[in-house]
Amino acid sequence: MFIEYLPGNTLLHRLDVRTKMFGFIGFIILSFLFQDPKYQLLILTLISLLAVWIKIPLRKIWGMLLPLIPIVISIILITGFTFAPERFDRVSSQVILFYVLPGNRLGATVGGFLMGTTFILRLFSMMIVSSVLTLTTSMDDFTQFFHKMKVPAEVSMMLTTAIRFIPTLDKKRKLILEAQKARGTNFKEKGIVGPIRSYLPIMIPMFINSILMANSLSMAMLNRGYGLTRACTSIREISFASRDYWSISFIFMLMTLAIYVRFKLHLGVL
Amino acid sequence: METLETAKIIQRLEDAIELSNISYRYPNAVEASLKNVSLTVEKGKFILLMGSTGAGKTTLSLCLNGLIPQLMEGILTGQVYVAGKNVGKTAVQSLSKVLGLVLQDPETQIIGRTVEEDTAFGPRNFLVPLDKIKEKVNQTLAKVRLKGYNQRLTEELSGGEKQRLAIAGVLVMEPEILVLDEPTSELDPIGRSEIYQTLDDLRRQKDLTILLVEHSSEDLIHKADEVVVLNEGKVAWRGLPAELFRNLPLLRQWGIKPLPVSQIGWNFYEKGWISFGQIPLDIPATESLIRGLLPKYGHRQGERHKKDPLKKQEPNLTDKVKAVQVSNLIYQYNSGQPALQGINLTIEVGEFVALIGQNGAGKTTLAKHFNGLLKPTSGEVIVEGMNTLQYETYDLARTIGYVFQNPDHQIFSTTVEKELEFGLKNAGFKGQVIRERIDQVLQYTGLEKFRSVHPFSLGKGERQMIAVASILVLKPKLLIIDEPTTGSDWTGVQTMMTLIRNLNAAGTTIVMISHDMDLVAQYAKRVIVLKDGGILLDSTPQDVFSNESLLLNSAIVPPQLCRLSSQLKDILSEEILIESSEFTAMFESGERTGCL
Amino acid sequence: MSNLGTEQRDLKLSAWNIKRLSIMAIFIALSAVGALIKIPSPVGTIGMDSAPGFFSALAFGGPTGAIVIAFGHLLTSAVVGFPMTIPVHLYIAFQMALWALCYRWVNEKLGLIPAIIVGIILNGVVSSFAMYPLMGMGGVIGLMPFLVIGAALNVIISAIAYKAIKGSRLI
Ligand SMILES: Nc1ncnc2c1ncn2[C@@H]1O[C@H](COP(=O)(O)OP(=O)(O)OP(=O)(O)O)[C@@H](O)[C@H]1O
Ligand SMILES: Nc1ncnc2c1ncn2[C@@H]1O[C@H](COP(=O)(O)OP(=O)(O)OP(=O)(O)O)[C@@H](O)[C@H]1O
Ligand SMILES: [Mg+2]
Ligand SMILES: [Mg+2]
Repeated sequence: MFIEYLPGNTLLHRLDVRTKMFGFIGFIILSFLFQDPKYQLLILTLISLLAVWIKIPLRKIWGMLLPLIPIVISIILITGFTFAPERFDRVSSQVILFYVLPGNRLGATVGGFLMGTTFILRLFSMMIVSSVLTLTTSMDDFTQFFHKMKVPAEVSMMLTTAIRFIPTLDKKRKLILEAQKARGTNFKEKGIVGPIRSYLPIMIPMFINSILMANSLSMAMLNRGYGLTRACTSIREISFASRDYWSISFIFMLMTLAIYVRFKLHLGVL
Repeated sequence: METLETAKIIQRLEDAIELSNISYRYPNAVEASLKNVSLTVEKGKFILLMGSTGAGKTTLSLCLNGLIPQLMEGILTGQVYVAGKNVGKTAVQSLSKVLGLVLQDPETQIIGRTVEEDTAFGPRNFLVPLDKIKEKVNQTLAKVRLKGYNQRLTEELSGGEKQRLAIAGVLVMEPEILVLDEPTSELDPIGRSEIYQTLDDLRRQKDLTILLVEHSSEDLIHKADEVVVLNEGKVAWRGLPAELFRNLPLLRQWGIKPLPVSQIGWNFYEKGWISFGQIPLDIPATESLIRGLLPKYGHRQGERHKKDPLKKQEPNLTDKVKAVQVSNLIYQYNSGQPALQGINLTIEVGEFVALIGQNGAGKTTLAKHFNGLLKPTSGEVIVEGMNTLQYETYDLARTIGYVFQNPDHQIFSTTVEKELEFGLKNAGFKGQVIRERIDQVLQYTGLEKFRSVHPFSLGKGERQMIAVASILVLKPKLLIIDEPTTGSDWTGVQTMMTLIRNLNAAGTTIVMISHDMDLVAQYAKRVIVLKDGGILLDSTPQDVFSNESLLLNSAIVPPQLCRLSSQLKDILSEEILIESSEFTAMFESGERTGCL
Repeated sequence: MSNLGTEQRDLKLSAWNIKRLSIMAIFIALSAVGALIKIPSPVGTIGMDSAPGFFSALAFGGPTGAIVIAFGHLLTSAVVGFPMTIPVHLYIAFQMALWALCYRWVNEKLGLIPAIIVGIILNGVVSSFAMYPLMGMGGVIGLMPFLVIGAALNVIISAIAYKAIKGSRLI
């Protein structure tokens, strides 16, 4: 139950975490530049190649995509109907396919459907790129990143401690669930009041145990000298290697190209 | 005047701990938890701090490194000096270099993800250079017998390993004083003595002052230099361990568990056979004492002992339904070795069964099958005629009660009464019945006076009792109790066990999981030893505990009296004796089956 | 704390700050674990991921609650791999922090019941509309029922739990 890290030794794993962050932001900008689904498809393909490169387990991708299907359908449909023709630059996009309601109201535009598709593709590619980032970057690297970005030491301490305690609290959750089941709690009650009533016996002990745990954690941290100085000896220093400079230049060129295409050539809009 | 001050300072340098007139009251407590405590501890001593629950032991430990009052609010008066430092004027963090405090629950004291990361946490805060840290970490891990564990994930350590890591975490800062608050409460007997051994080694290797809070004393009596007893926030007694543990009435008064062998000695002392100083404190001493006394006082020609405590309980054959029937039970958690590997077991209605075995042997896993919290991977479990595969836990809960070890996992109501109501409502009871049952159980458990109190304003022992009461209202036919007495003091243990014994006498089948062998021997009528997911032994306590070498393999040390009586087999009885009164009875009745 | 003498001047982080830090850390972790507590509801299962944040706002103060709920949201989504992308989750986290502050504020000014209502409206209705720029009207309407019921369960449970625990010596 950690934020998953996929061990490996590809270039992506070895890149400095700052390079990866730069690439990540660059990619986000890229995908918001274009409205045309064709361009989004191109971006999605590129990013999927990265995913294949680091050997992302396919099951994981499906696990992420499946729950989104209802939202996907509703986005495509409703965007299709609600984007008024005036919102599109291109004539082809302004074409109205048909009207849902009599009297020429609520027309479905071609652009609307295309836009809906773009939303979906953008969502998919961002999901994949987010996983690629988190799967190739270890917790240590993220801590180092916070450090380098001048995030206060307390904040990164808070986050690493939170992550460290997820499994411990999850164990507590299981124990509490068992204890209440053994007293005959039935979790199958219906409606909106039923679930609240049957889950309070879980949530209240969760809160109570968390408070107790926080108390002893603060004692343990003080006992071990935390907070005496603001800094602490860092285990590892990260540094740029030549591969990082190459990667950054490459990302930078890609961005320039994309901006040129979008704003000088006016491609990729609807 | 000035010379007096200097003299005082010099004195302070010699003393590791100096408390003068400490009083402390928690912010929302009515009464002070420490009252005028004055205590000095010399450098290099091993001090045992004892006392009943709520006596203020934990509170005192927190005062020593300044957590009180720097973290806890409340009113503190008096002065605390630790290794010459004024605790009131030094930050907790700086004090941690001088005094290391290990708290009760190892889980929350482990901050790092891996063993190495966790151990390095302290030195890193002191900006020790990295290569120096590495060296210190390795040294410290070796000291607590965790050598080579550097890259292990802390989440996956066993209870004993976690406990030793918690000690390593403070030890790595090289403190002069080590304070430990009940560091072994959840460990099996061998795990416990390993921790004590570690402490003893540490003390020998360097001049470490140790203050240890513990409820049990058997392994510590020869290790500690001194015992300090707290009672209701005051220092009630202080002196040599031998003095205290010979004095049974004193122990009783303060709720400290006496040593079983000294109980025998006390009986002899009361009869005037031996002097106070002769009351034995360990097995060899008792053995030679008994050997010496027997020719003089033992009635050789007496008739046979009437009461036969060794008689195996006859199973009640008229009862068709068994309380528990387990056949070929295999259970596997997600991966690896199955936690239970082919258990076959029948428990008759009305039995009192103890499940024992080392940490991780599978006791809890097995017990969770009895109320359907876990379903067999293969094989089947039938409880009170119900196959657990066909019933949900909330159905089984009406006939099978399960009390978990930590009461804080289940208490969620604003009053004790409401807490008891919860299970009854789940089982579908209404109005009058609920009220009657609650009244009855409150009375039975002695919780009547706390009826409308918030459970979390009560002590841990009382909360444990609430947890038991909340199951008892359901009038279960089978009651499973998973380590009901961890962290309780002697009085609390007695109350709890008497309650359970009475329930058993009234017909409830009891399955008790425990690491306290004295309790098991004293109360259970049948003992099942689990090892690596299988049943190693299953018999009467006498039979089981006579297998000393076999038990040692599964980290169990038989109770002191059982070990004693097997030493004395030749002159007393072939059988294993369990209660100190049985030994005295030997002398009265003169029963011997030996060949003396 | 103020009753400490001079030797402690150099200290950067006082015991009190560390207590807050550990409360925040544990409750952030609890948010991630809360997401695994799945409550059945008419629109599907709802995770208890924001209840810890709302609870902290009531029990330990608005800023603590805001930090817990924001980081709790980020951590929860990180565990499942940022399903709606990192920038969107940052945006949601920021909103949640605001809602936690409002929740605490209304509780202080008007009481717990109005705070519950405000919490549900903000986290259910307003948050849905806040997704308009990203998902269009389609997304807003699709999301609304999930968010309203999710908000209701989380806010109500946090409020009842707060009432239940307030009477003890824990907070
Ligand atoms: N946070 C708190 N607020 C108010 N009262 C407290 C608090 N903690 C402990 N007390 C009270 O202070 C007294 C001493 O408690 P303490 O925990 O020091 O006892 P102890 O000797 O360590 O007991 P145990 O053997 O159960 O650990 C008890 O009466 C307890 O109820
Ligand atoms: N939830 C779980 N997931 C995976 N493995 C588990 C789980 N619970 C227990 N185990 C493993 O199953 C085995 C038996 O554990 P169990 O808790 O039954 O031991 P126990 O005899 O009750 O020990 P203890 O005396 O420490 O309570 C152990 O090896 C343990 O690591
Ligand atoms: Mg204590
Ligand atoms: Mg167990």
